[in-house]
Amino acid sequence: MKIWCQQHKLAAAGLTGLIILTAAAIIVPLCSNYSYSAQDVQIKNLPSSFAHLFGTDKFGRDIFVRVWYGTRISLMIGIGSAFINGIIGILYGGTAGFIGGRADMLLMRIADVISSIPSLLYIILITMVLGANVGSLLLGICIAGWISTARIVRGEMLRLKEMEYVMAANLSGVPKWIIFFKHLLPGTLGPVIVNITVLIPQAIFTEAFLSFVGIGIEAPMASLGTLIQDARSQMQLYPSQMVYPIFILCLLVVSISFVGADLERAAKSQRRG
Amino acid sequence: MSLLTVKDLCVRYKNQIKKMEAVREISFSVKPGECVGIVGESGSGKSTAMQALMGLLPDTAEVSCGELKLGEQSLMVSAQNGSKKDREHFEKQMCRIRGGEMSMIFQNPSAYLNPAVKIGRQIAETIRVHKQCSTKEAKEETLRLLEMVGIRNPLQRISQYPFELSGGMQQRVAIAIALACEPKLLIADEPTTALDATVQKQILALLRRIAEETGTAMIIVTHNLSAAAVLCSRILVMKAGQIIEEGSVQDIFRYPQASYTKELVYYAQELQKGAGGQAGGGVLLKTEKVCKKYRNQNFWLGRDDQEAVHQVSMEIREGESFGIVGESGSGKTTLARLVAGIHKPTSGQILSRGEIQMVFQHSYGSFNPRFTVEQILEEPLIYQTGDNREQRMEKINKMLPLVGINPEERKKYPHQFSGGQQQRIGIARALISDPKLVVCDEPVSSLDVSIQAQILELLKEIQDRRNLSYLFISHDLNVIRHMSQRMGVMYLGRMVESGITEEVYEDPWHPYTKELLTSVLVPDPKIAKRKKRALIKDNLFSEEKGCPYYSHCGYALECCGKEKPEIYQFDSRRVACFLYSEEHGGKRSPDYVMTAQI
Repeated sequence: MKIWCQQHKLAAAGLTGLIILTAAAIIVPLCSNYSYSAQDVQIKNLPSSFAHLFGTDKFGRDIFVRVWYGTRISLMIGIGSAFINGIIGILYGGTAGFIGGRADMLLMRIADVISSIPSLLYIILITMVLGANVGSLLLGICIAGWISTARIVRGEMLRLKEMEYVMAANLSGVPKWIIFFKHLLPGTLGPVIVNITVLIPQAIFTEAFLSFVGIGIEAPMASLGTLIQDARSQMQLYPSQMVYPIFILCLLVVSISFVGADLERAAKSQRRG
Repeated sequence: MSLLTVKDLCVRYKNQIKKMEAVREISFSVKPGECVGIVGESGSGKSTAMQALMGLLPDTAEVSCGELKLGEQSLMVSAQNGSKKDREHFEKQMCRIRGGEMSMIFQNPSAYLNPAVKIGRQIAETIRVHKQCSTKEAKEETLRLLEMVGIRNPLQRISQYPFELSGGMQQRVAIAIALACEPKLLIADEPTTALDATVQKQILALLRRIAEETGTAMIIVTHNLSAAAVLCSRILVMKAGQIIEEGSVQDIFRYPQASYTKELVYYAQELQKGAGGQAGGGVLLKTEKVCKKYRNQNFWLGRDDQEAVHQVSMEIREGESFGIVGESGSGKTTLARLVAGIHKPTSGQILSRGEIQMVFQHSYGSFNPRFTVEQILEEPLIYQTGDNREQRMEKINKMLPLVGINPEERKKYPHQFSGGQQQRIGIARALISDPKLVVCDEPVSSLDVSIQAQILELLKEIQDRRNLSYLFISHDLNVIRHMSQRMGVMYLGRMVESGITEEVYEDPWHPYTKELLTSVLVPDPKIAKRKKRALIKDNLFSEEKGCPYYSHCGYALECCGKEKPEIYQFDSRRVACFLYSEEHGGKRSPDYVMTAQI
């Protein structure tokens, strides 16, 4: 364990950050006396204190609880979208690469068309129809989010397909679908995992951005984006209200990126042999 | 007075975990104009030692040397691990020496030449770094060098990029660069390993001519004793970072002292022996005019089909080995895959009785790196037999000792084995489902000589025990002769000659076979030096019409350039050459016995 931490300093730092943030996002909203929505005019715009660690906002809501509640949404969207995008991308790209030829060409051109539609457009539509909540945001992000994964998996698949061990498996009479799942897909996982660690912060940012411009999570629910947006109107009077959610957002994204960077390094050194 | 004196050269690799000694206190010297061979298997430290002399090793290597003298000046090789100032001084010194007084040729010319720079400029660049001269003078010098290394039309060639040249041509260019500044010492690190047999011989002849004409001293690093026999007057044998034997070529071959050298010489000579044995079984596999085209479809350029295999007909009988020999690009691997059923032929048919399995060249690449040996061997059994798990394990336990692997090691992953052991596992996988025919696609060409011999013996032993048939593919004529009863020679996708191996070797009928056979390297210094020099020819692209070998052939008739020869059969011999046709050789009586026409 100690040796592992020394060899993977980045990953260790990133994982520690991520564990603390996740734990706080789960525990704080559960155990706190304050709810994210209860308003109290008596205590509006308070600075940090023991009762309200991050102070209160202009409606007298506890920012500490709201920030962790927002982190929870960010994590849900980040990890949820990575999970969905990963599965769709692996299967779609894997199928395209494995079948090859005309099917490959058709599938990848469809993917190109989907990725060329401006995502903001359909995300606004979806939030209008389905309501602005975590589910509809996930749907919006996942419509085109899997495409980069699919491209990577397809490329890896094309490479692995020509490997001699696939030929050997063919000669051994292994059915095609078993070759696909047992010999080929596990081989593509390295670069895919690296790609997914890039997708998570991307999704978190997208959610924060959408909430910030007002088409994301609906009030009174708190997301890191809405918190920053709420604080913007009184940025000059109470800058701390804005600093806390930004700080947590940065911490979250940096932690995940650290883990990703380390994974990438490991994948590279593995490829080099 | 010696040109190069090396005393107690050591190279250590520093690693976070452990230190590895790659070269241990080797000492040798090279006289001016002398040709010294360094022979050893992979990992014996021969390349590392040479790179240390040139100061080319990475920072992780720790070099120390008692004395290193090149001519009059001594080099401080150990300075590359010293202080920054020492290193800078050393680099400055080496910059002048590398290329100027000592230069190097590497194994793979396509990786050595810059793909984006025309070859003329690459040569001129070297000249201008070391000599004060004008662009025009450098160009003239470039032309002279290209002519010297046997490249025709140098004026045309200098404006070509490396990828436009064949492998042999690229190696010639690399040699030209190395010779650009008339170095006193030329180090060639496996100069012919990546090249085809015919080209290999040409390059070796070229190096010999250069050594004779210019008086350049050479160090030839190679794993191939026969290649060293052609060129060198003195041989150093290296093993595990040490020089274990040193002597003149004659002494090494006639009276080897160290047991390792004895082994090397023995294996090299053993390979010269024919396979022997006659197979009398029924026909197991038959191919009839098999063709394979690869389709290159391009939206802009339209379709451009490439024919990898053209109308190959052959048969393999039970219990016999059929060898296929040919240069790279001759379609032998494609044919192997067609026979094994990995690819489907575009036309023609393959008829076979019984199962066919395959042994690959790079056995490591033929294993899923995530599988253990047990899983690798179990897979064919799962899908091809109805055995339950216990029966499968029993078969695996029986198979592993047969190929010389301890069954206790079956939980290990393939990368934990050495190259020879990996090939053994590859053989075990091919055999476990009890096939009739095993296609061996260059099964030993990536292995060291001593391990090659072991694997070939293993294959023969298994053949005797199980009455197996082999389709044995190799670019190495010695291996084919050692392994096969009958053989076919492939050239640009066609089987130009086939017949009984001994007969083909004794008396080649097709002009290409003849050229191929003259390029065999013999592990005997006397014969090797006596052999005629192979002709140096440009690699022209074959004509669309006509015989593919037309442009190289010394016996070409008028009709050879116009139409393609058919296959003419005489007893067991088949030859695709007009010299054997009735139209051009005249009518023959039915009891006429055909003999070689060349």
